[in-house]
Amino acid sequence: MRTADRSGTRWLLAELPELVASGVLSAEAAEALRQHYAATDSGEPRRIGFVLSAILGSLLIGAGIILLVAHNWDFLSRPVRCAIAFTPLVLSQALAIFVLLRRNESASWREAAAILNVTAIGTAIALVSQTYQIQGDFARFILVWMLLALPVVYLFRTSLGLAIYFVGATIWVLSSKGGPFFGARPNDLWVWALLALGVPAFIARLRQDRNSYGTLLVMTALAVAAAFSLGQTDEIGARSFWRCSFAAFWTVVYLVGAATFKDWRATRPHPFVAAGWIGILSLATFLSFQESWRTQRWQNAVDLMPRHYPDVLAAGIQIAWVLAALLFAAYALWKERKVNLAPAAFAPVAVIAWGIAKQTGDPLIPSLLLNFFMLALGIFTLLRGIWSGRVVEANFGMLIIAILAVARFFDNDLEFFVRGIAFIAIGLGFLGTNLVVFKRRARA
Amino acid sequence: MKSWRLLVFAVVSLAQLAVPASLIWKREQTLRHGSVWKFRTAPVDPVDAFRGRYVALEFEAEGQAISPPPNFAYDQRVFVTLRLNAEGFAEIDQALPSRPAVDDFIEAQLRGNTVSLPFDKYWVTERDAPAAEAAYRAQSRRDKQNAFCTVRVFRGDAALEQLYLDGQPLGEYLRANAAPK
Repeated sequence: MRTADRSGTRWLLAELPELVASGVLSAEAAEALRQHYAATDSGEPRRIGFVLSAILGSLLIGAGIILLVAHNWDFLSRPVRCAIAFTPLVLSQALAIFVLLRRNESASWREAAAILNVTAIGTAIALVSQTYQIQGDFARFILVWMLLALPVVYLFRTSLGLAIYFVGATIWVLSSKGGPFFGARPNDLWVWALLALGVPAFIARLRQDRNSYGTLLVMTALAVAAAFSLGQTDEIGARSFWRCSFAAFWTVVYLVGAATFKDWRATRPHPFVAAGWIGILSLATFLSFQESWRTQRWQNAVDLMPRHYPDVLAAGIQIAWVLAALLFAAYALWKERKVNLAPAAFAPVAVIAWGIAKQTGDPLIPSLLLNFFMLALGIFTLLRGIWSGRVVEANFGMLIIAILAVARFFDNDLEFFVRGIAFIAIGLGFLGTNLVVFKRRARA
Repeated sequence: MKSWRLLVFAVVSLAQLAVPASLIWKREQTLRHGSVWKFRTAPVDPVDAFRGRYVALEFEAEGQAISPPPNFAYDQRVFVTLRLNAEGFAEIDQALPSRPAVDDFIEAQLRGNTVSLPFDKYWVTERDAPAAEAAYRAQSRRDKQNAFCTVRVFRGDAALEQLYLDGQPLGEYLRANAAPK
């Protein structure tokens, strides 16, 4: 059975007496429904609540321990302080062994033991470092911590632990440099290896419990980590290509939600659908400005002719993202006819626009291409909504067109004359579509 | 089923314990066998010196121009040997591309034609923090430079031992100069 909305189930159960009274359902049928939903409903919420409180409890204890030990006790000798640093680690290991032996079947116990252990690793290293005035760089600390935490994630099959691991990899890639925030170094490409180390655990979670909130949390952490890693990779590889690689990224996010999680909840689309829409529309709007294509880098030979192996590797990763988006879109086109696949056209459109900009160095045509893409996306979504009678979708299509209109209103590159004509056209389009919607609804 | 998990976790536990233990062991080696060098602090921007619970340290030696190994990039790791200056403080002798055969060298990062030393924080207790901040500022101004750190140096590792203000260890200095309540 699909994971139903619990509120929906509750509503249905509350309706039952009335349905029986009015003769819509027989008493037996109502009882059968009640039993069916009681059976599927009872286990899940209590389990989630228990897991959540176990996780929250262990996080609080972990944080408390960190605060206590961070209170640098200078009246204690070094050996005593070191002993204190090791105590939470050893205790958490003892708890972990107990859980492996006796509570291995309980998700809450496993999550709690794993989180405590992961926190204790960081605490021990940090406190020893403080005691001995060991400086070391932050990125290396995070890296060691995460690599020590990774086996725990696998042994205890913990969603939160895996999410923490992905976040840790993100923190590593963001802190692994001496220069300015986006002054990346080829070293950063290792982050893909770090992320790959966590992927089998993620796949195991997907297989086991794909529609749970734990899996969603892990997937979100992975997506955030991938976004930051891709940003760093763009700095190393072909720099102007970020337009394409991020178009591909958001396309993948959208497709993951729209095409592979159709069974998420009965009444709602997967959160990645919304995230994908937001990403695609934001980036497309940005790229619809001529200014975003105006860069000196088109002339820069470095852009497409990397000199060292990390640059080539980075460019390969960028292109791999684009290929992944295109293949994913093709797969979805072949398998999933029922979902709106128009947003997935963003990746190829961005690539074509980038190619034109690269060849001509002229920002006009790429920006026009993005404008047409957004307009087409808006109209397609609008018509799709009208045909299938979904008002929300039709309105969303109009919203896309409206976003495009607002963007052009603030566009300094367009003359007032052009803007005027464009606005009149969009206005006429609005009136026309509304007319069509309401005529169809009146007829229906 | 259970036994392999236990076995793997036993190995993982050992690794978890080994990392902080190796930090301690390495530092103990340095503290035991390393020779003491005095690094004079550089004048600091008072606003920037104190961050939460540690004193941000800068050293005169970090402003000293050196000749980096050829073809070395910014931020690359170099091995720095030391010498004493006329006042008895440490100075950078050479920045080398590989480990020298002596015991007294530090791993540092190249910053153009200067180096960044691998110690720039001095952790203090929550209780002492505000007083330490004020004292370090007062003793490390441009016109009055009276702060230095003792550092034990042993085969690349540098263990920050003590921050001295006006010739006294930080703790003693704070007790001696405590504001009457």
